[in-house]
Amino acid sequence: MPDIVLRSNDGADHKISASTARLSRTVASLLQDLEASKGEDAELLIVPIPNVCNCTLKKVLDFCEQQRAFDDLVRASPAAQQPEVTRKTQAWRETYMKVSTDELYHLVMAAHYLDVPGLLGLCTDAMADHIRGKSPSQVRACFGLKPNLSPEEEDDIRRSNLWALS
Amino acid sequence: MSAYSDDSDVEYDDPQVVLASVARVKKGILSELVSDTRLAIEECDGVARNSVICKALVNEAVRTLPQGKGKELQRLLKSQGLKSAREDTKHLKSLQQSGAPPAMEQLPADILGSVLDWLDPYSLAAAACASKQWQEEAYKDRRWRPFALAILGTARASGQQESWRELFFQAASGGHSRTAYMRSPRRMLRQTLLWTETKPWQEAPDFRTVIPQQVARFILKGSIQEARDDHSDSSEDEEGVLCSAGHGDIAPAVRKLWRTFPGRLKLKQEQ
Repeated sequence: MPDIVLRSNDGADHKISASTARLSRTVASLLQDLEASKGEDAELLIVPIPNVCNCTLKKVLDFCEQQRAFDDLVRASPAAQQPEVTRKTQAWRETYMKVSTDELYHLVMAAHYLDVPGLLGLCTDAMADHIRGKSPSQVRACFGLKPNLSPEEEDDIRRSNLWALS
Repeated sequence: MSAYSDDSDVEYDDPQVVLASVARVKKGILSELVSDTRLAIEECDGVARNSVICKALVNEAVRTLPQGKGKELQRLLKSQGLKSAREDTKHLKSLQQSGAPPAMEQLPADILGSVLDWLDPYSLAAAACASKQWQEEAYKDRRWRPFALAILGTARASGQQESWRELFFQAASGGHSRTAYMRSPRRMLRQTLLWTETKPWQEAPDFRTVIPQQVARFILKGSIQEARDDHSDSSEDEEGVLCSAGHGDIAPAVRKLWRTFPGRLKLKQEQ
């Protein structure tokens, strides 16, 4: 399969193989349309990704490439080595997910837009980590939420959720 | 240095000739070094790790190169380094301007939903207090169904008219004896293991309603084995592993534990 170019919203190009790019379902369907309109043998397909910035796109493509390498590895390696491979991927993912909240936010939005199945789960899990074990005010601080519940409402919720908050 | 001068027809007896050929070879090598380093600097893409490597390379080059060339390289690095640093700040600023922390509250509902899907009932209830949108999302009834079923058991929950959430809340806030084990933080942590083990919208597996604590212990046992494999020097028992994870660090620890729950099927057979 030929290489394609993904162009982020700030105009940076990323050249990757089409099979890697197809891990994103959005890109896959865009590619299909492009190929249909230009014919199979169009030279270099340029896919604009309008709402993802350069560095986030890079990060997403990192994931896609690793995911593909992992898939290949799983297919190639014998059954006895599968746990080893899985553990390696998990280790990789853990380091991959060491990002700031800002980055995480952009990453999750990108994963949602590009529809990369594994990545969205990974990101939302990491985001859930920011919530687990925190009090409401801590959650608010972490996510920059404005307390927009009226005092009565909040009081009501607090009372019914006392079992969780104490 | 003489290792580089392998011209066979050079008269090695003459020190002048030897020195001249050494100088010639040295010049060639150095110019190659300069062009290589220059290429490395120009290709350096502003990733932190790469720029560190690049700096180290330049430092080495400066040590061997004559002063003029070395300075030139350093200048080039500086311009390039500044540029990438500036790009970084620019990027960060653009991220902040697009409003990262404030934007978090504009998290689309379906993403927020899939984030909340990962949570245990305690964190879910806490998150519900955070803001109105979050409350709406967190209070969706399907999220509470497996929790309520797990606490009450299928039999007791059947035929109820109330919402699953209310059922669970009633049980959790003290009406039910089985909730007692959920109260202490450590128990809560164990409980977390159970809740997060499957996605909440899936029906709670039967064994969770039967012997939650034993299952938790089982999960802990299996994953502690794994933790030991990772750091073979650590000798904590299961409580130790949990304690060593401070309050803030509980979540990753929990995630690590439940991810590798090896004997789920085995446990079912043993029952």
